[in-house]
Amino acid sequence: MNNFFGIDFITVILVICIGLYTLLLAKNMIRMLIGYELMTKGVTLAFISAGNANGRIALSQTLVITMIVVEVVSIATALAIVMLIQKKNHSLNIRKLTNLKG
Amino acid sequence: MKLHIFILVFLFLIPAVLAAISKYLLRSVIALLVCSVGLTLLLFNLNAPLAGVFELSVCSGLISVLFINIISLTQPLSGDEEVSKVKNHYQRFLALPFLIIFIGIILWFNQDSLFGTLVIQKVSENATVGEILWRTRGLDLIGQVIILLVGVYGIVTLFRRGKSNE
Repeated sequence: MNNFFGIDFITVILVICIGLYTLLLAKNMIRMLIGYELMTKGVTLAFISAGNANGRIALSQTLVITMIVVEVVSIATALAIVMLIQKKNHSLNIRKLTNLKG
Repeated sequence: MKLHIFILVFLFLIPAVLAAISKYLLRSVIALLVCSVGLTLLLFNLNAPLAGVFELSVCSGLISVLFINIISLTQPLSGDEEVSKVKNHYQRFLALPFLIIFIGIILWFNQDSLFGTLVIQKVSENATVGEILWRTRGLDLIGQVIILLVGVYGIVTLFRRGKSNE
């Protein structure tokens, strides 16, 4: 194992921790999506680091490009849902989404 | 170890922390944009220019525009929420920098024992998809499992009962 591989994965874990912390504590839906974005950035770096370490960087790049496309679609859909929820509830607070509560 | 790798890692990590703890959403999105630029530089450094270009154009370009668009379209918080937000915002995220430094120190001093176990094995050319996935892409699977857990957490968050309504 080279040192660069190690520092890459330390960075990956730290970024995923930051994203997870934001997801756990944020009440604002847009901030939660920012946390999700941070986590996907960590996963992107994990893909490329693993590809670089085992010499299959081309395969990693193709996977990352596919992942980025899926990420954009999911974020766009999520933001559209956030906007609709905001129009309906006049709030971005996730704790106020109790309309379906029986 | 080369100094520029540390600079790139800090250029990636510090905007990530700022994106998480910033009080204003617009500043968070700008920090996320800078974080994407930092990740792009790291990808270029890891010999992945194509993924870097995609990251730069799509994540720091398109996604930032989408976020800013939605922030401009949604209304600001109500008066009570704004007061509560200002009071509690930094308290909620106070532990984050300390947590990051703590985890970073633990990982840095235990990296040989932690990452030494992640050995990447060679597979034959006619190996099955399962063999390739588990032997060479095991590290990626960890990331995918984490993303799946995030999805589960998102669903749990959406459907859990609020404290005030119990």
